Amino acid sequence: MALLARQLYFEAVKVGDELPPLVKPPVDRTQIARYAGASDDYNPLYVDELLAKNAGFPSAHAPGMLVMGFIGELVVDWLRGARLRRFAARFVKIVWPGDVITCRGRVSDRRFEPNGAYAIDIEVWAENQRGELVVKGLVSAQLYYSAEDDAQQRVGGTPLLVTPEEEAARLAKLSRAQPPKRAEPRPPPPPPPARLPPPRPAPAPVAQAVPPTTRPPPPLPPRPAVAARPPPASRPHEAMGKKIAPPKRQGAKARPAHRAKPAARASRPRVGSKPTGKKRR
Amino acid sequence: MLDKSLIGRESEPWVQAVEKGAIRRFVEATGDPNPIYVDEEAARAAGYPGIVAPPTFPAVLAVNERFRHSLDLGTRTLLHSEEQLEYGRPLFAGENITVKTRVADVQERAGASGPMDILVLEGEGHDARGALVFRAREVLVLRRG
Repeated sequence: MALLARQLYFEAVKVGDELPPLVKPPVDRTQIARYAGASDDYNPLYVDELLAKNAGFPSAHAPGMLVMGFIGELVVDWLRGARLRRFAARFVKIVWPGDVITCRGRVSDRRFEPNGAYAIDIEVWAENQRGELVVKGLVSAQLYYSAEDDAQQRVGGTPLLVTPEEEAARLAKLSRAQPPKRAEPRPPPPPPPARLPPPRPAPAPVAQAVPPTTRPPPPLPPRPAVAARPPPASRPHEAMGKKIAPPKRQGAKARPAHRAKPAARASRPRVGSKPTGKKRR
Repeated sequence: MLDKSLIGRESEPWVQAVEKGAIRRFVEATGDPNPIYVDEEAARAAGYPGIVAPPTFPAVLAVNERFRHSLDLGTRTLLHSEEQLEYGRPLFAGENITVKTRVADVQERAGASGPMDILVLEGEGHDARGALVFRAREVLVLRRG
């Protein structure tokens, strides 16, 4: 059962929940070259400084997909095995060598779907060290309702059916009981690791060129350098067309359960080092 | 400007092997330390049948350089402005995925530095049994001149 307890379950997620921010080491030219190779995308604007300058750019730049990959790391770590349905991103501003990228996310929707499917949407975005929005996107994932639902389905059973009304009634009952306890025990939150900004609200950390953590992503410029508006979406991509409101901060309301992860970050390898086989969970 | 008649043009189906070395190099490049991408045992402990590909990896499979060349885009600068991925299921190392790419849209748009062409490519990956694994849609901006 220890395995099951690692999952993120629908019952533990609220709209407004924030993912612990992920601050990546500065993007450098070696990383850009490695990503170009690993993704087999040798757009000269990523790898050819002279060509980039001749084309009117101040230098070569990072592929947007590299930053989307950073956001993927943030989301996969937080979802802990829940299934991704969609992941969309808009590359709003160019990322240059030396930029320090912080990835953030916030749960924007939570849906009870027919036949015992439970889905959430997470608004995701990335900022550079000046606090400018560089990538913005949306992730949809499907979760088990609870450990019970998970266990039931893993042995081939039917999904657990819970209605919003049943959930509300259970929560009301729980809040009358005391002390209010969660359906499953969770470890206490570890102290925030040194590499991450302190929990909000807090002043900007001094050690790193990271923007103040209380800043919502800036509104999109009217015509950003890279951002093309999506063409009228044919088929299932409409969600990107949907305006994503700038996330509102929830301050100290972020729940400890979702902060459990960053402990592993303290010892994460630098870019370019070989990921170790250590178990993080 | 780009020819609207490109819309609907489709590549030949193309079988791509999902190699674990390719996944490892990919996560080394993004600096993602999650062991499920490199360590068979860790992936199984997390409930997967084997090494998993990270969520943006399908975008790599969806890009068909030869197909893009066949569109004769010339030497203009090309910026990637959007990516949208849909997943039928997770993608695992050792699979063979059949990918097809097609031109979903061509548009012209006024930009700060003159008119730009927008090219939308859609790729679909199916597994050996024909089940959809992913759909990837990329929006590219081509500057004139």
